[in-house]
Amino acid sequence: MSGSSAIEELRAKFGDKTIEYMRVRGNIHMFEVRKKDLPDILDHAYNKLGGHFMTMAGTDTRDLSNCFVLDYVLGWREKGILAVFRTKIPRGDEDFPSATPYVPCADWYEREVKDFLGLTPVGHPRPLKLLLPDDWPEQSYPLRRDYRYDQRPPSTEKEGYPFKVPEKRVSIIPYGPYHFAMEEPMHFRIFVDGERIVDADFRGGFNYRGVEKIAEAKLNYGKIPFIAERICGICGFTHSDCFVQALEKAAEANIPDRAKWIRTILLEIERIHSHLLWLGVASHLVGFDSGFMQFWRVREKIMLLAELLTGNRKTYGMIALGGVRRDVSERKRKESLRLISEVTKGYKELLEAALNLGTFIRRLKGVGYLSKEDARKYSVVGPVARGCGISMDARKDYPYEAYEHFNFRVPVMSEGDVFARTVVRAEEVLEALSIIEQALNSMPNGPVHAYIDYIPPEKISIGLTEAPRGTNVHFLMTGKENTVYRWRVRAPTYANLQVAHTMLRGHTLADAPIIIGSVDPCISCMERFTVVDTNSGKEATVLSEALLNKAAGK
Amino acid sequence: MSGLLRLLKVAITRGRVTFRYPKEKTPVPEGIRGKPEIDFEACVGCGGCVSTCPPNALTMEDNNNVRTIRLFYGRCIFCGRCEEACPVGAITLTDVFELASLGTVRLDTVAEYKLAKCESCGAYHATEKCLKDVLSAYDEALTDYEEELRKMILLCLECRRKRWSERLAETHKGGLKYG
Repeated sequence: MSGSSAIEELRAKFGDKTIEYMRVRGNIHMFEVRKKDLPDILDHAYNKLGGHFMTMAGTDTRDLSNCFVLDYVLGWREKGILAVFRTKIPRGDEDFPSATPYVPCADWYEREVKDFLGLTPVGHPRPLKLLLPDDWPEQSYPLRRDYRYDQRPPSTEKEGYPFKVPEKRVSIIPYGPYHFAMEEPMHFRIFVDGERIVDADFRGGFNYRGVEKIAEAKLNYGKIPFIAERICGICGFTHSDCFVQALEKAAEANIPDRAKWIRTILLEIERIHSHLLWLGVASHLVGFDSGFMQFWRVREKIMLLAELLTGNRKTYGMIALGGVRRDVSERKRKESLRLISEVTKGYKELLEAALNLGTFIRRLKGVGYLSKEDARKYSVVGPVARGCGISMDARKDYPYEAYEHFNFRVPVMSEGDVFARTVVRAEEVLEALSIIEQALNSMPNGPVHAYIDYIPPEKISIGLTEAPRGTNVHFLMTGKENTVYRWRVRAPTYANLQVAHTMLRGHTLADAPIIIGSVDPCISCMERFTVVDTNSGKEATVLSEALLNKAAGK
Repeated sequence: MSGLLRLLKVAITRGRVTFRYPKEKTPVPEGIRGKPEIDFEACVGCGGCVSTCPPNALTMEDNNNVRTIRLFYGRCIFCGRCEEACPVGAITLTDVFELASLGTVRLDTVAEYKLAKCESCGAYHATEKCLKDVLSAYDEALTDYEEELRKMILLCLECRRKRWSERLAETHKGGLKYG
């Protein structure tokens, strides 16, 4: 269903339940509803009208309007429509009906709101902690505005997390939070029956650094793009671009074309380097180590290209509100074109070798299957969704920067396995190379920076970029004196990792690294082995040493 | 050709691509944003860089008549905003990137500046060096300006505001006239 007809239907059907309907600006529509009606309207918009779950942000606006605000954002790909479903939660009545039973992907978002704002999702199937540590005190809600950003509450000394208990007698393999091939610490509990994975449970949040709180409390608009670039060590530029886009939309500012072109080139450089890094890591995870070396060799040329244009390999520091900080000289442009043709040649040669290598392919095919229905149900994004036959890409659906001026294809595979995700990523590299080439050949002349003198306070804005891993969503509410009032970052892994347990089910334990790796996040190797006897509820932990001794027959 | 043969061909034709680092130096790209260095001769201690630093690598503390400006490389993200903000061009981002150190002491740069007293209330308000710099710029630009305005630079913000409102009141004695 197209976005505009979905909005019309929602207005017609829920007109009496909507307190206020407003067109925020451009393609953003807002429905304010009573909290009891929220699950109904979300259920209809998500399940009947086919909206894609973008993000949900909870905001403490007690100093402005004496209430908390929840904003659920849904998107429709056709015509790029975004709908914000807002509900106000008055002070003293701090709960809301959970939408998770109808919209499964709201799960983490609602748990996060409970962690950070102390708003209870009533009817949530598993309202456990998501990002805060186990020993965090109960009445301490860090994203409330009266909570100081540098406050450190005393530990409650509480240990343990109520993990899922398996239904029948199975072995549990703790998996994480440290792993040699992964970037981020997270913990999976994989339930195995023999070698088959029956189910899995997840616990994350070990690396939550509270960047949103720091930005709200300490930073101004000039500083945030640089801190936003450090949200991710691989795809940082897309975060800073996403934030700056949201801000520029709020200011209704126009930025010069040349700046848009340069931003697009850098975004694509980042995509190539990220995908080549992933192809390398994926090769390593399935034991194809020469692939790992060779993909990273090709990647090195892209890092050189980044160095040439920005001065540094990573964290380009090129974004400034209203444009970019450095121009691309004619000499650099020519040199970049030369590097791009070199990379294209080297990459094609290597890809042909890798995709014809039986041992590599056989480890990827038929592994980590995700059906199109599940992908839709959990609103997954990026190569995971495109590997399941869903042709979604923010560059096409919600065009930003200079993307509408270039010809490129969105690679889609319908198999839904790890191989499909690999091919999607591999083909995206070729498309990205072609986008950079087109951009370098068609760069408009002119300034690279425009001065933005005023950004109105209390404006809502949404920034969208297609990061290498999927759609980045930055929900923004501007504040007074060049500070953000609320900044909610939704990175693609947040959406994709929620389906990891579905992809793991039915496969062997040996495939777990590549399955979880195919989402492009990270986990860790086995340290201990736990056996649970569910009949008695007793749990025994066998240390790896004892396990090795047993295996060696000692 | 099978994948394995193709791969062998790639591996053989490409050969070794790594550097024998640190024996062999890697080329440093032009325009790299490396270690920021402050030229303390030129620096006037105004604190402009401190207010633009996103990760608080630059900090400033006023203690009686001493202002301490500290640059801690352990927090620096090499964004180069301080370089852009410095009014006297005292900060440059060099091409030094090998900052590994066994202790944090070597990552610290501290400079102290003498603060000047406000000529009216006696509060410490700006560094002597900064005032000197502003005064000389003032003299260069406006040679025949009122001596009293020149003196106002030496007042702290609070006294300067007071002095300005007094002047305004004097000029418009008997009420403001419009039109």
